[in-house]
Amino acid sequence: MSTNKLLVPVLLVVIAVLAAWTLWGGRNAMSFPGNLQGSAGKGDYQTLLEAQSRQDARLARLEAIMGKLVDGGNAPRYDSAASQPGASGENVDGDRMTPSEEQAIMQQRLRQSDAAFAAEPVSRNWSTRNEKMIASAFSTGSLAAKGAPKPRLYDAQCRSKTCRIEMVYANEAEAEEGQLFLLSDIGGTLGQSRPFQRTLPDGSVQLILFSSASSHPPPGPDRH
Amino acid sequence: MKISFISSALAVAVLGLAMTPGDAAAADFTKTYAGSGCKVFGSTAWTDLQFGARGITNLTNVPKNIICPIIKDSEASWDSSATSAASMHYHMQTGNNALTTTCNVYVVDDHGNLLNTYSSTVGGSPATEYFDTLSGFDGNARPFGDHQQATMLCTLAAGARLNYYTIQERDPTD
Repeated sequence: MSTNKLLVPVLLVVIAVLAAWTLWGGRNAMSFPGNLQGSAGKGDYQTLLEAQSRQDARLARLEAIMGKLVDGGNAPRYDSAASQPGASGENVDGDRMTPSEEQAIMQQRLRQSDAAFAAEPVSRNWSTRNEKMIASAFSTGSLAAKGAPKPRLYDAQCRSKTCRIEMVYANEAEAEEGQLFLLSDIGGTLGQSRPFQRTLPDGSVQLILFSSASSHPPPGPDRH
Repeated sequence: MKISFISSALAVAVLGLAMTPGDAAAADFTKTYAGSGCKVFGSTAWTDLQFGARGITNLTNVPKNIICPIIKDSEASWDSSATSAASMHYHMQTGNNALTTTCNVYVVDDHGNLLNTYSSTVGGSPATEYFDTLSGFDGNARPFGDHQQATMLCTLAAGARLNYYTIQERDPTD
């Protein structure tokens, strides 16, 4: 009985310590910008949403004020979630890129990949073996057996680590399915590809893949 | 005796409360998807496939294409830094043949521009289970950046079944 009497205060102390530790951990589990702090584990998402709404409203008011100060209210408004500087699809000023700007960047990347590919030394054995594999994937029998769309034209060149595969399909749907069937044939050997796709004036779709083994990422600029 | 029992129960309850849900979620970065969540792709017909609790099966005797969603719900990139843990893999069951199945991850930017594809091929033995990593998603892979999404597309061999697939993110959902 005396042990039981002693146990109660000990447990009360343990409870107090654990409660303090839990509260401290909750405060430090996650912090948010501004004046909001708390634990996401508590499930208080309504509070988070309300705080986000307040921040959005504040931002909108600031933008309105800035717009009036800059050009009498005609300044462009940006979606806060999509206007992180330097993100894909934005120029250096943080503005959204136009389709033509995007196209220009893709063309520049394609030129860089082409230049890197051209600079790659040639291994006759490697290139011959892989060019044959690609040709086999595009053979009439192989395409028919899979029910894969036939490209209007294709060209494949391999060097020592990379193959450049260019295809033109009648439309985007065929290009996407053709690419997938091609990867099913070559993916075991050429496990990584950098694709470039564009629509030609006649509506057909040009697809260029720089494909290499998984251990050797395709050449060209980092696209991440 | 009663006091002892009540005290013990109270202590267990307090310890249970101390283990906050946030702590448990922070350690779990893996997302697992059922194969039956995939859809037909390209010229594949819905009737070419069987959808079930065990996954998605190609019922025909020719390869069929499917497209599978991948949700990226972490603020950070996918896990590519771990040397012992792959950041994407899938579980396949081949049909009664030696045909191969290929799965690819397509990485796309906000505007729909294709950035990279990563491929993996399994198969070669009939009625065999395979559990494979998507090439390029191992410890040597580069991470995904912000404003990039991923989708998995597979060419299922005749009779093959995609059971499930998983991804691992670098950080927990926040």
